[in-house]
Amino acid sequence: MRGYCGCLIMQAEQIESLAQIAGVWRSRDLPLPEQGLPSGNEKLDAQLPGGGWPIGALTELLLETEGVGELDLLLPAFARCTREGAWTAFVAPPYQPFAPALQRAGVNLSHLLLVNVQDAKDRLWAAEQLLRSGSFAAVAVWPDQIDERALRRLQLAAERGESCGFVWRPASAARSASPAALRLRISTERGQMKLAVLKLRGARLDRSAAHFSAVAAV
Amino acid sequence: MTDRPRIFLPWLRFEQARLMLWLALRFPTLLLDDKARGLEAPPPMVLVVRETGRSRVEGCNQPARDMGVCPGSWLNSAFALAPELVAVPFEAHRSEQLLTNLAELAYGYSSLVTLESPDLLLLELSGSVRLFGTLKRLLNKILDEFRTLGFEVSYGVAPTPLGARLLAERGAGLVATSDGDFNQLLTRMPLQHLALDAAAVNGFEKSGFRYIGELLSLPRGALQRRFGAEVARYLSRLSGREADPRPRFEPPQLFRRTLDLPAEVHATPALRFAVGRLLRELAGYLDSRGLGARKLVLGLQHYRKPSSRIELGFVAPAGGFDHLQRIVDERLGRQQLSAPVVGLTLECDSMAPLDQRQGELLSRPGVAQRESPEALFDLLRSRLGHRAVRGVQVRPQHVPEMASRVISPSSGSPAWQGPRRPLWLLPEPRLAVGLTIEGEAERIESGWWSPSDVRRDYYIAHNRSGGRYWVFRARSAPDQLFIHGIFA
Repeated sequence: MRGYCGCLIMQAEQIESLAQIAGVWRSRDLPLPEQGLPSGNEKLDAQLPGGGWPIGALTELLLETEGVGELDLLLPAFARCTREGAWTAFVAPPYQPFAPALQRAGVNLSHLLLVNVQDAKDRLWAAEQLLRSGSFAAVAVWPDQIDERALRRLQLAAERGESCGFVWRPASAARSASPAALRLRISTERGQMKLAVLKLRGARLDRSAAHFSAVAAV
Repeated sequence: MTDRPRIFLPWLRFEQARLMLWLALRFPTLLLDDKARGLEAPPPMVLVVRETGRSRVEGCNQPARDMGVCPGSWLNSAFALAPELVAVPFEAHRSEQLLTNLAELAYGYSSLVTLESPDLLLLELSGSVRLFGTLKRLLNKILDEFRTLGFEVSYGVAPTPLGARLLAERGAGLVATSDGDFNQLLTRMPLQHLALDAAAVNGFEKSGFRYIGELLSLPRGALQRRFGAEVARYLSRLSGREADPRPRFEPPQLFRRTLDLPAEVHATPALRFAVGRLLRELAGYLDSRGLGARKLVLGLQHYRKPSSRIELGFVAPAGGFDHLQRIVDERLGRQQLSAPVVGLTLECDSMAPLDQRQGELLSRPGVAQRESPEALFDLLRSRLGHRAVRGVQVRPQHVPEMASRVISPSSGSPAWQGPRRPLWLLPEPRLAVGLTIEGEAERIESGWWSPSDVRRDYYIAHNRSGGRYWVFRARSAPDQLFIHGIFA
């Protein structure tokens, strides 16, 4: 049945009725192949099913302390997107991004949008609009506060727009439930950044490999 | 009458193939509909003219008709039938203006549109039918468009402008696409439907005529002798024997619409419906010209107070009702009303050709709808303000606070080559406490030509939990260490 479906030109109604028959699949029902946006960090990519940051999903970054190279972790992916002409955004970053450092990391600044917004609700609103638009490849948001419901909205928006969403939260949020596809804790050990995969949707975590030092690639 | 011989109109049937097809659109309650447009359910309304000191009902909308009010009666008796009746005085100027606005919309369906005061538009459709497939589909689309805007409309289609007008005034939605059909309709149509004065119609009746078809079978010379040149010309033009050239409507490049609200509005959500109607009109106007708006001004009129202006700029020309409404909604949501609103104006005098590549072409199957980045910037700005949506750019300056600049998005940036820099820069350097300096100093000085006097030694430093900072000592105050950036 599936063999010759593709050769026929059918009306939409016919296709609908065909879809009722067991064993007939439409291409849109097929699961998409897992794909990832390479993070530029080999150890991390090896941990992630698509070989990179999950596309069409939300990644939570749980930060213990600032200034440990946490944004550096995202920049190879942002650099790759912007150089390929895709748009990226920072929503409500805690400080002003410093252009020379971004450019040194390879980011094409003409495709990085900064949304400077104070209000907690507006931050989430802006991130949701960007994620769901389908024209932003990667969006990082620093929410003032965010609950599970808001995270779910962002997750759905990222799915719809096939975008990579990154949400920065304090490490203390690790205890609360989250619908994000990937949760990563960023900490330091003897002055070096350590990453811990707390949750990875659709994968069984190898506990021993889930904790690793990422500093080599940074 | 049955013994009357069948009328044969050889010059109409076998005339050279004419391609014209006219649609007449009549807006019988133009002024009333306009007043009621801000309302989802309009009240009974009548249009009144002053006549010898009394007000006579000239027209009424459907709710008024439902209550038994009919044109021609005195206003007093109309009030007796419908106490909550709203009386609107006839204003020729406003009526003219409205008709012009509607002509702009009609222009989207035909490049040959003419205005017939006070309430009629004529559109030549033969070219447009092919574009829309069938006449029926085209008609439905046109009628839908005007009805969605809140206007009552009756129509007629005929091979001549006067014919279409005559059918529209009958109000039964008559369509004659060929001369044969048209003549068939006229054969048994009473003389009273002719757009001639009562004296001329009287004259016909006295001569024993009862139907329009009978007059059309007469030779023009005889008609002219018996009823005058004016009548003869009218009948020749009605049947298409004589050409009937009309001035073409030329659309202006400025969109300005006003809408009076029936009651004071105190909160922005209540404005949404009325604003939507104006935006729908704008979207139709823009669409018919392949244009997009670059700037919009929404004016909110207040009673005895200066009106408020809301300006919306677009990065790229914007069109399409949904997009416009989304932007305006977001902006209105943030607007605090300084006073109750009694009327709206929507103005757009800055337009540019719409980029046709936007829209469906870019859409991928998996993604429901792709919005252009520019459309998104507009949306974000409309809610968060213009300054919230920015990009960042390198400036060729030594002094760190001058080396990075916030600009409008997608401006591009000059290249930068130099040593490692922190990703976050603090807006103001702050005093550093408990940091350990690593490595060598990097001296940064402003040039002698620069107005700012900056001479600093920069270091990388870390705190106990592993955070790395960019710190400096000013050479003027070497014992104080300042944090200037964070190696995020």
